[in-house]
Amino acid sequence: MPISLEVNGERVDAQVSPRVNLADFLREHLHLTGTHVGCEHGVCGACTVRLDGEIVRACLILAVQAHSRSVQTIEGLSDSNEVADLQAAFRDRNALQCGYCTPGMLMAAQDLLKQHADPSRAQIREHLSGNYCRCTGYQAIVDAVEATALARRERAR
Amino acid sequence: MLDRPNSYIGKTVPRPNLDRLMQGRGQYVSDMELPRMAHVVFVRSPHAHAKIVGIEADAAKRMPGVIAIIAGKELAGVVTPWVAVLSHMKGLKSAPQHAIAIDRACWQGEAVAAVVATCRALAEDAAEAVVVEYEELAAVTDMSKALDLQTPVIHAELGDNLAFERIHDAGAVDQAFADADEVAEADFIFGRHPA
Repeated sequence: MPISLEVNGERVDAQVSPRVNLADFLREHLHLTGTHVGCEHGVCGACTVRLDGEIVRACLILAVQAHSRSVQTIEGLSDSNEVADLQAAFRDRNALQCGYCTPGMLMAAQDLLKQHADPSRAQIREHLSGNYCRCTGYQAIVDAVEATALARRERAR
Repeated sequence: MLDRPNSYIGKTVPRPNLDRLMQGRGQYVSDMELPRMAHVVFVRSPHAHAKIVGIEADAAKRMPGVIAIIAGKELAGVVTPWVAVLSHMKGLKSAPQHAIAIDRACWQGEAVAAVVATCRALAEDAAEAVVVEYEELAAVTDMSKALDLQTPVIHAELGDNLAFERIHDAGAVDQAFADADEVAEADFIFGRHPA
């Protein structure tokens, strides 16, 4: 089936099999491998992308469902500097070890900070509860998100 | 405090590769793409303990994109089994673990066949068409019963189901308990031993 969509601001035209999910389409067809496949059934969060501005599980969306829609991946958010301060905080606070969950964490964290400028640590954990991390134990991730929220509030003043 | 000024101990050491990982530009194994690369998918035992009576793979082999379907005996010719002992855990017992099970699956999920194809989707399609006949055997899944006499021994050559035991016996323990005002007892269950 032919599909036409926008990925990270660029128009993409492709022929896809109806059963291909969005994660595999991004990774194998577009070679945007920053979106990771962890569980393939929507629970781990490693495949988190933005679809028309909302974060979704790319492993639970078919590529054909993204026809005429706008997709943003970690590569897009990173290259536009939208999450540059989050990335710096993650780096400074060692909020990643293997880095496999990190693109999904950054997508979910940015989604939270766009909605809440002053989230509590409990709210941060709640919003990231759909993103699993096997390495860090989450504490440094929550620290990094909290620190970024604070820095953004300071800059806004 | 630091009597070794050039030591890393006590210092925060930045990792230069973090930026690449956070941009989604890491190179994990599943990100790697080589020309004419094949993909492998495993058929796995649904049973915790079962004899592998037979593997019927002819129909699967004819499916589109399939390059090969490999079972345990064939792979044993090129891969030696892993014996999971550790030099710092004296007495740890382990039966040889083959890369792909031969004759018998000993845990739910153990690979019984590898399906190699030109892409992952076609390998997964073919894996569904591989028919494995199992003869279910008694499974041992309760650690507290694993050493009971009536519990089957999974690896006969190891003698029993005990993988490893370490006993710390220091000081006059029995005397200490006898002299204590109160004695508290508890069982601690840990999910994993090493991380």
